[in-house]
Amino acid sequence: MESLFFEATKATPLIDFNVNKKTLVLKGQSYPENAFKFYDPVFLRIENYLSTSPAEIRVDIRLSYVNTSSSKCIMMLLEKLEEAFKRGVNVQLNWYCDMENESEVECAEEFQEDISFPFKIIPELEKGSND
Amino acid sequence: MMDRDFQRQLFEKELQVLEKALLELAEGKYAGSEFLAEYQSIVTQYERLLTFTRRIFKISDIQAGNLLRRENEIKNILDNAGQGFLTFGRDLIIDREYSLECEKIFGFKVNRVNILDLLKSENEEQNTLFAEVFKSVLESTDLEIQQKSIHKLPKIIKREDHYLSIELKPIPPNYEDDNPLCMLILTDVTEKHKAQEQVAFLSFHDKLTGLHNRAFVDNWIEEFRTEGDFPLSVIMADLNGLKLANDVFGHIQGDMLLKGFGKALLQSTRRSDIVSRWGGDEFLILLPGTDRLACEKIAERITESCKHQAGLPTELSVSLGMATQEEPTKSILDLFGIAETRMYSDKLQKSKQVQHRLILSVERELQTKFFEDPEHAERVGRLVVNLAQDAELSAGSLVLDNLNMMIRLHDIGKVGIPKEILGKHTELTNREWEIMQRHSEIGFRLAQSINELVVAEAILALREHWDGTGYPRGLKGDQIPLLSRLVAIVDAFDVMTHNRPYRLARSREEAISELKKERGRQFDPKLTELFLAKTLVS
Repeated sequence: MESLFFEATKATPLIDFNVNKKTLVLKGQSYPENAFKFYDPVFLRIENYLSTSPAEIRVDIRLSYVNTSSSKCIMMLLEKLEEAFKRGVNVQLNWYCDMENESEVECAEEFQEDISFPFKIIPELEKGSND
Repeated sequence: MMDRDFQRQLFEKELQVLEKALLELAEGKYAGSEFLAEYQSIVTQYERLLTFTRRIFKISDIQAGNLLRRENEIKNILDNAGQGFLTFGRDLIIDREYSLECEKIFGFKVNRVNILDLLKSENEEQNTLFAEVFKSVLESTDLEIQQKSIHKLPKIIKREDHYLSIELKPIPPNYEDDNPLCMLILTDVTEKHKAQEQVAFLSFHDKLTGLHNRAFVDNWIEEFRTEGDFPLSVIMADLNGLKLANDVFGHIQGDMLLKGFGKALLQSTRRSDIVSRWGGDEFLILLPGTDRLACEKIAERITESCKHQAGLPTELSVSLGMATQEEPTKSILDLFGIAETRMYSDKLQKSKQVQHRLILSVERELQTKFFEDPEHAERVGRLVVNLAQDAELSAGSLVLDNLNMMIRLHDIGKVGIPKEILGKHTELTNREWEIMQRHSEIGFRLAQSINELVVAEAILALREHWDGTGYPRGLKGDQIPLLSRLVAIVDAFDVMTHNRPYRLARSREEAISELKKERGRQFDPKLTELFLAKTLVS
């Protein structure tokens, strides 16, 4: 089982999936030309990991902008986590958003809908768009 | 928060189809059909698709709104910063987004314009410099090289009538696929630049006349004088009677004389000459490369030009003193001293002539502006002389010596009283009366300034009353100068018996009756008696 790490670019977020730590981090903004092509390796790696019936996975997401295609990909990812949670994997997700921007909280709530695993929306002070 | 009803309305038709399908499946409508399983799968995926779509629509709307709001906030900041911000890359084409100030500065939309074309001026050297610096900054990644290039740029450039401060900043790429950019910050500093130029101008110029000032001459003596300036001539010029003109016509008119004199000096000299206001009513003209004869010619031109300055309250009169130094042997300050001494000598000779001219101007001013009857002084003159003779004042006495001047000047102070008060038909208010009373004092100062000291005292006392109720000092009886007592009686009689712009004449009998009534109150009783019994009868 391999970890996965993508540096953040102008149009794609940092992806840090660490098998040893059992964590997945998405951070930055997401508007790649082909969202599915970008997220497909992430799906594959996560699916593989979840198929091994791991005890847990902790997910941290901080996305300041997500375009429409990327939103669909994030929902697919959440769906996979939801399925795993229903299979007994301990899934915990923290969704960080800018506390000064109400609309980010609204977006997070939309992603949260129909999710039954622990999904915390954490408003925090924005430190900078790319850090 | 976007409401659910809106979402429901947006996908109404799709939801109806889904709900119908779910109901049919729940009711077992297609039970036993060979397509049931496939139909169930399609309905499930359709439900999932619809859920995704609805949520993604919402997320997308929120984010688009958020982006536009942020764009608007950032644009507001940039557009109201009072500075032009624009960016361009290696193609030197200005990017689409720039701050509004750029449009104000250049007068058109600057996007897609080549930055070199935008900044192009007649200064070819500057145009080339811009091209070199932009190329160097955009092609280098070394901060030091970039800063070195940026320092070569001018801080301020002139574009048409505007002065722009410019600041170039390299924008390093944020990501690997970013192209290097340059930001140019432009600030319209025209007002500030003009103010600085004005400060520089004022430090070496006289604000009123626009001529050079003393500081400029001092600086010229120290830094610019060369052997080529010799023979060097100087003319010290003094505007005669300025103080008197200020007193008579007011400081605004006095300033006009100074400006007119400055103009006359410039008209009489060459561009290479230095014409300066030395201080107050004194002017200094430095004439490099000018010998004594040429200097005298310029002085003649100055005198002549003064006669032809139009629109001034009185003709310009100037006293001049000249001095020439053939070689740079002595101190130039000695030269100034000689010219100044000669100027004072000229002034002394002209003083009577200037005073006479000014009094004529005041008389003219009183007659034209204040409708003063030109014959009033003549009539008063005749009667006062008669009264003086009737009073047996000896010829050669101080009173008779000054009588003529007193007759001419007794109303001179009225020139300083506003026309509206002087010609008012109705009773004066307390404040207006206060202003009116000032004419005695103004007349006093005017007469003093032309050295008519006895007459000045008499003018000041002209409105005093025998019983001490007059103004300005409340003198009574013999404390009032005889000259004042004589003129007061005759002046009152003449004023009463002649039309004024604000009052019709009274009859001779009425005037006599008024004089009788005021005898011992306003007027000297003995002189009034003499005037009524003897002077008027003869």
